[in-house]
Amino acid sequence: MEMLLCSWCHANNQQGLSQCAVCGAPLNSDDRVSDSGFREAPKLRDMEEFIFSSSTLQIEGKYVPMVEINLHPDDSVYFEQHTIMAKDAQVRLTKKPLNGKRRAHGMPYSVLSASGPGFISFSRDAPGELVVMPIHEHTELDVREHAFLLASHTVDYQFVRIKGLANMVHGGNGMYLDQFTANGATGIVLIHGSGDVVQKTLAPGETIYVEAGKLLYKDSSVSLNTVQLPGINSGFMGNHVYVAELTGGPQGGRVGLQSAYHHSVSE
Amino acid sequence: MEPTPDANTSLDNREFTCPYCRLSGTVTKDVSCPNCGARADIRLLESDNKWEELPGAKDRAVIQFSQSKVEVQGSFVPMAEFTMAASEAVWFAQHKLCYADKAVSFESIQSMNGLTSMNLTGAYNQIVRATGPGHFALSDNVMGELIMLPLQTDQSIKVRNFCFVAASNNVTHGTIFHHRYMQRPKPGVPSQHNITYYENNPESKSPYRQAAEPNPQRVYFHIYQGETFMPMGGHEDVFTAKNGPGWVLIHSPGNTRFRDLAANESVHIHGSSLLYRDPSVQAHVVVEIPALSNDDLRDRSQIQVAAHGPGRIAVSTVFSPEAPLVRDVDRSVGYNEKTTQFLDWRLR
Repeated sequence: MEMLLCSWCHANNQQGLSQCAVCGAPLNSDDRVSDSGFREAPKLRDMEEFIFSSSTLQIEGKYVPMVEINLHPDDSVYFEQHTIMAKDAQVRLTKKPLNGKRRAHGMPYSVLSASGPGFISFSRDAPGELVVMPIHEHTELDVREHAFLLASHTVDYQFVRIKGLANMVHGGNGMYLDQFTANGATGIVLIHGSGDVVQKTLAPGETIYVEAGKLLYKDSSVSLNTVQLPGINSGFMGNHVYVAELTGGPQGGRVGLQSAYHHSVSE
Repeated sequence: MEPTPDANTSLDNREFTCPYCRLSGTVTKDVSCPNCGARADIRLLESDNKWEELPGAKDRAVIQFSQSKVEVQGSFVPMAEFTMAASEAVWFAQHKLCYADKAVSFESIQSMNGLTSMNLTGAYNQIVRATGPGHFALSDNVMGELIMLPLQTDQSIKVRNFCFVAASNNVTHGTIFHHRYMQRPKPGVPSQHNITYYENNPESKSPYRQAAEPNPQRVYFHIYQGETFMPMGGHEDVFTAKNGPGWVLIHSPGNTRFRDLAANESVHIHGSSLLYRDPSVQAHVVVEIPALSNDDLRDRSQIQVAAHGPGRIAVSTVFSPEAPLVRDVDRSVGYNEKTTQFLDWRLR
């Protein structure tokens, strides 16, 4: 049976659908790409509904969207502790073990897990868009710190500290990258991008420069380095402009950007 | 809000005159203006008091200039993606850069860095010229709309400070300072001489009852020794197209509304909401004392900017924090608890 490949999340869809069943991206002529290869994030309608595992997920709101999940008893999601909005009393919260210590806004960083059954809702406190990213087997997604809203229990999570003096001093891409991998079944990660979100699939070896504060996520196959923007160098001490240099790996890779700079302070 | 009778319902490939940028052209496939990207398929909305909605560049609108073009992406914090033809150039503030491919060549415009950069961007950022071929994108950092302002040869436009995103290579920049440091108040000199009082009460016999007088010099005033309030910001940017038509791309925080002022027509606006104006529009500060106020309530005075036609004027719906309360400036005591809040878009 011939399937339609979603150009946003790479999920297979049945013929005849106008919208990806996994992430909501258009599968018809509305799926347009700009001249430089960027496509806008799926415009998720208010009250749009998705299904993951046996649970349902609904997007509510337009400017600072929130997510409401009806958790099945066999399902759970995890999230940064400060993004929870409301939950049913019977939804059980547990602390998720992490692979290291980390602090954010002067507070210990912790990730909680919520188990069904029951309703639970989340949001971040910045105007922007929600992006539903399925995590397929053998894929790994690197997300800017404090940008993921939640992930399903079939997705593994760890964070890594961004290496390199230039990254730390000039990067603006934060101290950490959150890494998500599938541990068997396909799962989903919801990412909140400030402002509008666009995505480009880099060809193998293709390089683009990105203002580091606007980097939202990338496939792990895409390399990230902080470099000086060529051609700009003026004044004593050099008023250089530092940008993130993103290069597609042997298989290429996706890069997601947010149009508004929103940086959460990590320690 | 009522739609105008001659509402523009044109579709693509039709000739029309854009009600926003005032230029003629053929409506694009995306049903937008080819010169400024504004929607061309909506009915022109005009409020009862003549303010019109300036919709900003539509998502996916494409604007052609020379052999290059700019495409708008997004609707919350829209990006402007430039597709540059070989050897064509635009200039912009470095901190508005989103992404670029390696083919674009960048260079600092040395003559525009320093003070010009401070005026344009609020910091010693780089003013950068990008030359094609290649792609790059720019955006601001707050919710709002991208507004494309086409300029005819030698036409100028005055724009609120720190809204600048990019301009065509033949557009020059100038600055109008609203506050000159040499005119700081001197001890013992009455400081109210820069204010036009305006009491909105026809029956009042107060000496403050007088009409607002147009005076373009009165765009700031001294509240207290060492403190100056500039409702329209510290300066305005003036962009002028030289040696041919050009354009300026600005980011308007929030939504935008504009209107045409007839000759000698005046309107009072919140000073920091002023987004752009034709050079023919004069503006000065007025302090309106609300009706029913008495001397004890004079600190409820409203600081406004009076704009006088003829010409276009546009305001944005997101502006600085509320203007500071103004007490009777004849009194030289009692100001310690109310510090003037200067307009400072750099904090945004």
